[in-house]
Formats: sequence, C-alpha cells, structure tokens
Amino acid sequence: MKLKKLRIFFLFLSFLFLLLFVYLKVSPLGTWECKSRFNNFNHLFLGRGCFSQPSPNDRFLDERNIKMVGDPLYFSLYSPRNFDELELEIKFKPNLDKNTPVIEAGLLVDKDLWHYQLKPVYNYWLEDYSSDWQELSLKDNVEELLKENCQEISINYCLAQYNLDQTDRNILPEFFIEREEKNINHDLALRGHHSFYVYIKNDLDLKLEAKDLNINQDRSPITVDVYTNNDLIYTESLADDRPEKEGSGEESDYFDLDLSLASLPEGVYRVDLKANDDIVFNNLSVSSSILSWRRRLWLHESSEQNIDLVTDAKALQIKVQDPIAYQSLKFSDQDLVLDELYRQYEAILGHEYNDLTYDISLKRGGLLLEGPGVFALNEDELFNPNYSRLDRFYEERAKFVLTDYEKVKRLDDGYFLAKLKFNLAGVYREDNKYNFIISIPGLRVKDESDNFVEIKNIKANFSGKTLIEKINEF
Amino acid sequence: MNFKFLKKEKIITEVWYFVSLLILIVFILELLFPSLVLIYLNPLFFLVLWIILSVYLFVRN
Repeated sequence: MKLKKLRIFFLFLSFLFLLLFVYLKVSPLGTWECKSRFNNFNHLFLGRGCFSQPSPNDRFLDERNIKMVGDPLYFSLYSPRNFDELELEIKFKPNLDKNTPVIEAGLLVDKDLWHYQLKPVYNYWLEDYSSDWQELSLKDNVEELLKENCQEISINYCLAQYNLDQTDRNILPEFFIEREEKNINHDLALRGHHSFYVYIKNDLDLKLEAKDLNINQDRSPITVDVYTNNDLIYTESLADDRPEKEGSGEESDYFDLDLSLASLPEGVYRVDLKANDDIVFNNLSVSSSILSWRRRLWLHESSEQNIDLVTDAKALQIKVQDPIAYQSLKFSDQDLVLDELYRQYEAILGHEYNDLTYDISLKRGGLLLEGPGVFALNEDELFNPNYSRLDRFYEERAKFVLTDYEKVKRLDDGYFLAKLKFNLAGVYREDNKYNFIISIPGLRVKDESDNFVEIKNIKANFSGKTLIEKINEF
Repeated sequence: MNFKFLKKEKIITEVWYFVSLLILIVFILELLFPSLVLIYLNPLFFLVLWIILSVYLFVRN
C-alpha cells in the first residue's frame, strides 16, 4: 500500500516535471529569465544555462569566471520562444586602460552582413576620466556653450561623442553655404556592404552598377537604405534571381541600380548599400556636394591603379584580401609594407599630427580599409557629420562630449553591473538562439599589455506578449 | 522483473522506475523543445543515477 502511494507520488512528480518545462517553453506571463553558468559547465547536476560557452577558445581564460583577453567573444543565447525585448545585466570587472577603453555588447542583426547591434557596456573615458566634464542636459544652451568655448580650435577637437550617430549637427548650413549642387561620379569598384554620407539640396539621384561574383553559396540580395538623423526614410531591395549558380564562381554581368527621391529636406543623408561579399559595386553617381564613405572601404582588386584617398581618421586598419594586392601603402607620411594575407595592419598618427585630413595612396585595390572616420576621393567631397569618438583613438582634447551613456553601477564586492536593453524586432534568431557578442576593440591575445575583463555572469530578462495577448491576436 | 527484495530494494526499484520515467520525459522534452531541458538540467546526472541503481538492483538480484 505504501509502495503504491510512493509510486503515485513519483508519477505526480514526473507530471509536475513535464508541466514545468511546458510552462517554461510557453512562458504564459510573457517573461522569461535566465543566467549564465560559465563556471558550471562541468557540473554534474546543473544545466549549462542559457549562454553557451564563449568562442574562440584562445580569447579567454576559463578560470572561476570568464577572463576575456582577446576581442571579440561570441556566445549563443537561448530563448524558449520569441520575445519583444531583452534586458541584459552583465556583472564584470574591467582591467582596461586608454588603449582598450570601450566594452560593447550586442546581438547579431544581419547574418549576411555579419552586423551586430551594439550597446555600450563600459567606457573608460566616461567612467574614470569624466571629472573634467560637466554634465549638461538638452535644456542647456549647448550651441551657445560651443560657440563660446570652441572658437580657437577645430570643433572636431573641441567636441567628442560616443554612442551617437548624428547627421544634424548645427554647423551644417555654414559648411555647405558656399557649395553648389553637383553630381559626383566614382569609378571605384567596392566589394560588399558600404555606407556613405551625401548632402542633398533637394533631390537624391543615385545610380550605380553592381555585379555578383557568386563565390559564396548564399544568394546575394542588395538593399539600399537611406537615413537621416538615424531614421530610416527609404529602403529598397533587389532579390538575387540572377541565372548564375551560387558558389560556381561564375560572375554575373553588371546590372544597374537606380534610386530617385524627390523633394527631400536639405541636409546630410546616410546611404547604406547592404550586400554580402559577393557583390561588387561600381560607377557610382550621386547628386550631392559630398561623398564620404563611412568607416569602411573595401576596394575590389579590379579597382583602378594608383588610388588616392583622403580621410579624417588618424588611425587606419588595413587588411589584404587578395595576394595581388601586396604593396606599399602611404598614409600621411607613413609607409606600410603589406605583404601578408588577411593580417590586420594598423597605422596610428600621434598627437603631433594636427591636420584635418590625411592622404592615403594605394598602388592597387584588393584592400579593406577601416578607420574611425570617413574616406573620400578628395578633400572637397570629404565631410564627417560625426565628431571624434570616445574610443581607443580619442586624443584627450575634447572640452565637451555628446553622449547617450549611463554609468555602470559599482557593487560592494568590487564588480561592476551594466544594464543593456535591446529591442528584439528584426534581431537574427536561429534554432531558438540569438548570437551574442562582447567586443573590446584593441584587446589582443598576443599583446604585451595586461588588459582583460573578468566576466562573472550575465543575466538575461526577456519580455514580450503574454499567452492571452497571443491568443487574442488570432 | 522478478526480484525478491526486502523493503529497501522495493523502494529502490520504485526510484529506478521514477528515474527511468524522468529520462524518458527528458528525452521527449528534448525532442519537442530542443535545448530547453539542457539549460536547467544535466541529463547525464539522471543517466548516471539510473546506471548506479540498475547495477545495484542487478547485483542484489
């Protein structure tokens, strides 16, 4: 009899066990939370938590906590179903300096472009170095303050920014007042996704050619997005229904892409050409007085010989993408010998360089150029609507900083707690998992410095529609 | 199973049934909702427990 009771009890427990997991899967209240278990991976009883073990293995030391020594670290984050928002709480201890001042974390948004939506976790300049900066709100007359204090030096050195991408800075009308409306034509062959700034007086007429290299197995659609003040105002996509087989290496013919937007308010616009690395853009023509490529320029090997560029960035990262691109590159007065495939070369101009623009001379294409600024073919076409950024290239000169940043909370046990909020609409999710990244630009495994970040744990709080709301939708 | 056990063995047999059922449920849950169970529990624990109980019962038989 007692055994029968025991059996009923066990059956009841089993039923509860089953019910509990169905409840967790459905999450009827619209919320679900979980915590990383980085130091419990080999625990006999406990599960592995919703965060996977980070990768690659050589970028962290698996001690009691995760000790991150290389950038970036990738994780996958499980969620039982779709939610609308995610709040992350990262408990960490930074051991960083001005060479690696920024920690950012985010989720993969675009799988094809490998684009992450990053949010600030920690900024050394704003945390440890901000005592000289007075906190102002938008109610203060910022424009007046800038006029009073930034007369003697360039505004780009007087004002810095972080976690903002603005295209409506107040000095724009002055800058463009003398500029005539014109058409810019470029015959640079550029590979993969690119983003550029234009200044539109009235109409945006954009024409360019593209071809598909068909090297990768995936299809290669193209999307053109137009932004102003970070707001998407127009988007158009072109599906890949070209006859050439993906992965065959058979190149398509050049095809035209035309975009025309009439009667736009005068101002700076950002145009994003979204495409994977199979797409080569060429012969770009745009009705604008400026054409400045934002942060990144991948010159295809078919680009013309002897390319001269200008940039406002004082740091340049170069990667050779094709052996035929081995060459000697000139950045300002520095020469760089590029003789290794896929190695990240870096050239940084020191405090003694005080120009507004710097020349880059290449002998041929096949290089990926990246820098904390913009690139253009000549000084007339160069304009960066953003101020210098509070990152590892910041030069400690700014009197003012524009930022959307919340300081991290310092806990009694010596750890820091950062809270990040993500809107999950449009975030890439596959097999119930999001791709999560922690990035510390400049942190290198083989570096001589002893910089690292200790990550104790990460807590994820998902929220979204309740079960009743979902049923009502149907 | 034709075990002639003492009371203790009978209880252990019930636990063995229970653990077997849990393993079956975990297996079904993993098929229905991939990864969810693994977030919270390590199925290896149940498996090890099941093997220990099985060996015990086998030896005592």
